[in-house]
Amino acid sequence: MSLLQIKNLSVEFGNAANPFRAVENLDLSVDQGEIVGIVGESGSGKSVTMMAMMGLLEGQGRIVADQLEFDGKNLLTISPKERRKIVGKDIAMIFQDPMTSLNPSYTVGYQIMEVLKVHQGLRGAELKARALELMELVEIPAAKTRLEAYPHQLSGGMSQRVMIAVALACNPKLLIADEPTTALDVTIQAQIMELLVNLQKERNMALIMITHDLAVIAEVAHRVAVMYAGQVAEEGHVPRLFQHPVHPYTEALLSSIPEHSKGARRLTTLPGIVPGQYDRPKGCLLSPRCPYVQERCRAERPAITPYEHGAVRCFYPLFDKEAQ
Amino acid sequence: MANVNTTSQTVAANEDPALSYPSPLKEFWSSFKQNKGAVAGLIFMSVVVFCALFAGIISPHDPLEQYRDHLLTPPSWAEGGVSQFLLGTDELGRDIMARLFYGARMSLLISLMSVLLSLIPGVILGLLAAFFPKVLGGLIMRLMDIMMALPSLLLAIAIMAILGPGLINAMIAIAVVGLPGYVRLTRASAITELNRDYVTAARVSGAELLRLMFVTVLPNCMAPLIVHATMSFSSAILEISALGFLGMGVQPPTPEWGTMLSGARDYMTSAWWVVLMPGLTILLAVLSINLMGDGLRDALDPKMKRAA
Amino acid sequence: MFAFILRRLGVLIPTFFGITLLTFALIRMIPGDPIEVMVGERSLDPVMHAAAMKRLGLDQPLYVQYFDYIGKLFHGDLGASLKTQESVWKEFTTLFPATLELALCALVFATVVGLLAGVVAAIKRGSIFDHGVMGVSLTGFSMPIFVWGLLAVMLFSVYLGWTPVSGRIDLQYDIAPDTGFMLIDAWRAQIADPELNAGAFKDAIMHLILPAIVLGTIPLAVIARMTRSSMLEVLREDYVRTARAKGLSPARVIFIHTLRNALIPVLTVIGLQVGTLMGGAVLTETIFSWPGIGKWLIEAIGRRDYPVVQNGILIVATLVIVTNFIVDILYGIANPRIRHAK
Repeated sequence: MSLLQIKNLSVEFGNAANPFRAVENLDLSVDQGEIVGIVGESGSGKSVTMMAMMGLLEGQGRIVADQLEFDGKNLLTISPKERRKIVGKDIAMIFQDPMTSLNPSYTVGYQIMEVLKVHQGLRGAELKARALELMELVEIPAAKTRLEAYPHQLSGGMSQRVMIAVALACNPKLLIADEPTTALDVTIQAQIMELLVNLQKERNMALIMITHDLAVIAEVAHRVAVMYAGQVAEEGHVPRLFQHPVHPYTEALLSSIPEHSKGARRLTTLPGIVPGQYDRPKGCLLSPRCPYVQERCRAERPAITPYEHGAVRCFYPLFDKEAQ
Repeated sequence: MANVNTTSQTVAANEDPALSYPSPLKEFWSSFKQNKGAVAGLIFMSVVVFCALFAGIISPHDPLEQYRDHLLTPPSWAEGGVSQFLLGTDELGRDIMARLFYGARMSLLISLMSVLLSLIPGVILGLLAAFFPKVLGGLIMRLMDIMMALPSLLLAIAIMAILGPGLINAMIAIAVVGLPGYVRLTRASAITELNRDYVTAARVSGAELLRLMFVTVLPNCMAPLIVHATMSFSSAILEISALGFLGMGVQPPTPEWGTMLSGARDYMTSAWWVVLMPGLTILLAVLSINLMGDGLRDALDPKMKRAA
Repeated sequence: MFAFILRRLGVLIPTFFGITLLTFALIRMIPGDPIEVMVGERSLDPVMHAAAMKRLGLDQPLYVQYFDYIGKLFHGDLGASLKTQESVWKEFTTLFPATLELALCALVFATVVGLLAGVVAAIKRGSIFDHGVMGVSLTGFSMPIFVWGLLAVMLFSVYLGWTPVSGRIDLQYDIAPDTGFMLIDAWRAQIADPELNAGAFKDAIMHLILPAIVLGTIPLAVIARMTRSSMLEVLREDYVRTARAKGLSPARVIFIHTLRNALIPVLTVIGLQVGTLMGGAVLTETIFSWPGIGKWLIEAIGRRDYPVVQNGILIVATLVIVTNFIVDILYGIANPRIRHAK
């Protein structure tokens, strides 16, 4: 029994006459203690999937799924009130830009204590002690004085640490990190990533790491899902997926990283751009850009199909290359 | 020969329709007409302007003529109304419709003049304040702060108290009241533009001060200025009618919308049309201009779009 | 915080002196001979004319006159009304509570209704309620206050007979003007003499309600529009998403995390309404025969009572800049980023 089980999830935006599918037929499962990476270009539906699962789309997107379960609770039929007992407590999320993700009008301490008050009913000295403990947990120096600081008085790295403290306040079973280091300086990025991974190990929680940085995934994740235009193109275990990509998109993605294309004279790139709202192809979404495209790819959409090391959404997966 | 032909055809066929830019005016209009309120406002104001321009032709009566037998006649559709006076008559037996038509002349003329009278010095002062931020700019802005400290109507009244009532004085008073808005707006947008590279480029290539001010910088500040001018036109109508209502604006018997209301208070119980007709006219005119201003802002300034 | 207040004071004080210059110039910019204009007589005895000039200090050089004027101001001498010979300051303090009562009620009405309408319109963006609020507020914003006042009197007082046409209270009541605030005075009078003054308090409310609504309409429209757009802007902020991701209740997300930040620009706008209210009071008081400073100033202008006009305007302008100063300070308290700015 997985901690998080998503089957056939689709999220649609826009009006009925002019719908835009941000996420299409997505399957994903995450077990306790597992780090799952989701990679893909901007707009490939990574964040939307997670926001839909947490109920953060606020009625803007239409969510359809065969199954959307967390910890045995059906998130599709759950009442908003019940959902709020899970969100922020058992599922927590940290975001891309820590500088804008904290409320400028309240002190850091207030924003940490707020979660503890709402979800755990802590009060008074106990509340304050726990907030301080959390600040120390995320390795914020001079934690006591920083509790009184306002977000604009903190650096980006410090702010992200505070966000992590807020997220970990109620010992979540699942932490979603949505590009947690993208907005930070390079030196700080490694620190934050290390902190996240250490905390994950320590508490044996599940961690979903959304990113477009393949190097990060290769380093920390157990499993990875590659998304393209709202669909999961390929899913598999690390490091095998990096060594033997079977979806043409994954292959292209990997060959665009310098480390993965040693010896090649130039980095290869896919021609064209990700299809938008109006130019989604009838067949496979990658078909206009795919170097291996066949007649069938242009006519039909492939379904995601499991194979022995994962799952792939392609009529002609690159198993032969693997054999070579 | 044939070869050339084919090439030109290919070029024409490949031309992306999205890449052929519409003229700015056309683009503006297609954006403006999407805003239904703005179009409605434009239509109503066109009617008002038409009535003002051709008041002499379309007006059924002389606005000053007093029909002694028809004092306070209700509008034609109401009980006791006469078809001769479509919107009724006032306490002196003058036709309200004729007075509204001629009043439109007064209101539009005064508003237009006062907008021009504050726009031109306002833009010049604003540019000066932006180009010489240290001493002159500080001085100008402090002066504007002082003018802004007084409620606009009170300032207008104070000026009227000095100058005495009358048409020209009302124009001046309203123009003075509107001045700080233009100065601040021009200064703010000019300062933003001054930091842009194209201004530096013009400076480096030796453009003289006046050229920098009026040819390089000013055209790029026009969008917010046009919107502000539209909006201040509506507040000018409000202010001139308020002055008229208080008996400090245009003097009777000259017809002006606000002046028409100054005596109306006494007839509230007996003759509602004396209050309602000029009142609604002022409201609709101001509303129309504000709607147009909203449409203008959306069409002219994409940055401000959907912000308000 | 202290440095912040000092900086704001540095702006306030020069502005005040600028206004004294303006009001000082006011009386001296009257075209023609000021004494003749004031007295309204063409053939004034030269001796009396000279005496009047001397009494008003108009025979001195301008700078002497100005310093004299400032000196008198700081001694609380604001001159006397030409008509009543009463000191301007005394007349002002007698009449001001009436205006303050009216303006405060109007502001409370505008703020409460405007904030509520703006918040609900933002939350239910695109709904009928939202369109209704936007339409009504644009109309309210475009409504000339005196037209609205006249129409309101016609509808609610004349046709429906719900409220009295003018004044602050019915003449039948015997009210001692202890505080100058009719609501308080009427309440006290009713308690002191329940028989004679039965229903005085309710009558005072009925007199106040219509002018307060009329005066509050434009601020209401401005506040509602500002609240709505500010709320919409803040609702898009990342930290509101964070608040939702924390599993907070919608009420907490709206009131603690969104409204608090959305209020910052609204607060400034509410502060700016004080000026609108003082200007609007002139018209509202004229329509409703409300014995406040607006009506006082208009009447003074009508009879060319220059000391009243000059110093009345000075007092009102000072009130406005001091209020704006207070709003600035409040703004700093509400917004930590401003407060800490160097």
